[in-house]
Amino acid sequence: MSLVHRVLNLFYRPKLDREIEAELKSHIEMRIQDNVASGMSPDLARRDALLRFGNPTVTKEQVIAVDAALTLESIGMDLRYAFRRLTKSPGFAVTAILTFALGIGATTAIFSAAYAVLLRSLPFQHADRIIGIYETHPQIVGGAEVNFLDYQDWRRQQTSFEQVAAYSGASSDTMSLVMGDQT
Amino acid sequence: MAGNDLLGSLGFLVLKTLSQLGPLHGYGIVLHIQRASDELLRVEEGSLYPALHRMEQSGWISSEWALTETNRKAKYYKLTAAGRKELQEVEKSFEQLVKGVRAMLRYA
Repeated sequence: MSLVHRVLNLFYRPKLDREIEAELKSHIEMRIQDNVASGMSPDLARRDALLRFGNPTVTKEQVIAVDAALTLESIGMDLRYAFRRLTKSPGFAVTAILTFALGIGATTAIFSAAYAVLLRSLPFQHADRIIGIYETHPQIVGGAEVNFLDYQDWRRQQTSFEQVAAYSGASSDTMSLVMGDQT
Repeated sequence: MAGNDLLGSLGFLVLKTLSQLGPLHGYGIVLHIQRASDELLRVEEGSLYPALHRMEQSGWISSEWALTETNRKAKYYKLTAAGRKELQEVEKSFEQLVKGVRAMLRYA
């Protein structure tokens, strides 16, 4: 089905209306003519033709829905209607908008945090192969800092990694990275 | 059966009518289906038009305004090449359906 054609038809709506109306009307009139020819009175002939045809207005609407992308038109109408209703009850509108704003804001904030912490990969090649090594102590909650000598031992004795590096820094703007023994 | 589902039996009858009689207006299609089916099939006349327009959008038929024998303006529909192909496919799957149902009925 050609959507372009159906969208274009939206701009020729009056012409489309007239054409469909003419088509349905010619059908009904041909039926009336045949009915009269077979001996019905004009009144009866018209009644019978309409009865056989069903509701012409409904039929016309159905045909237009086939020919034109009416959903676009009705979405526009719905939007205008919603806007009118909201301006009529500002209290409700403000509440609804605030609710949406808070909801969207909270969701966005939580997702950005989750994205940065959990989802975004590190800005290195083969980021999936980078692993953190930590020490745990029963006495220290939250993990202990690693002693520099321990780090050097790890570096020399480990066989699992291609490279081991360490970083240190109390605040984020004075961070130093150790590769091997060099700072 | 995909073609058949898409088209529905009314669409099938319309395509068949147009392939049998050539260009025809909606009213003529109604009359032909009734006559050719020995009055067994009766088309709800209004419902024909959404179907006709849908088939035109699908490119199976094309339309043109012309004069009837009684000098009345009417919209005539005719089968396109795509419609002819569609008709063949639907006819094939319809025959398969009939065969299958017959076989089911005969099974004892």
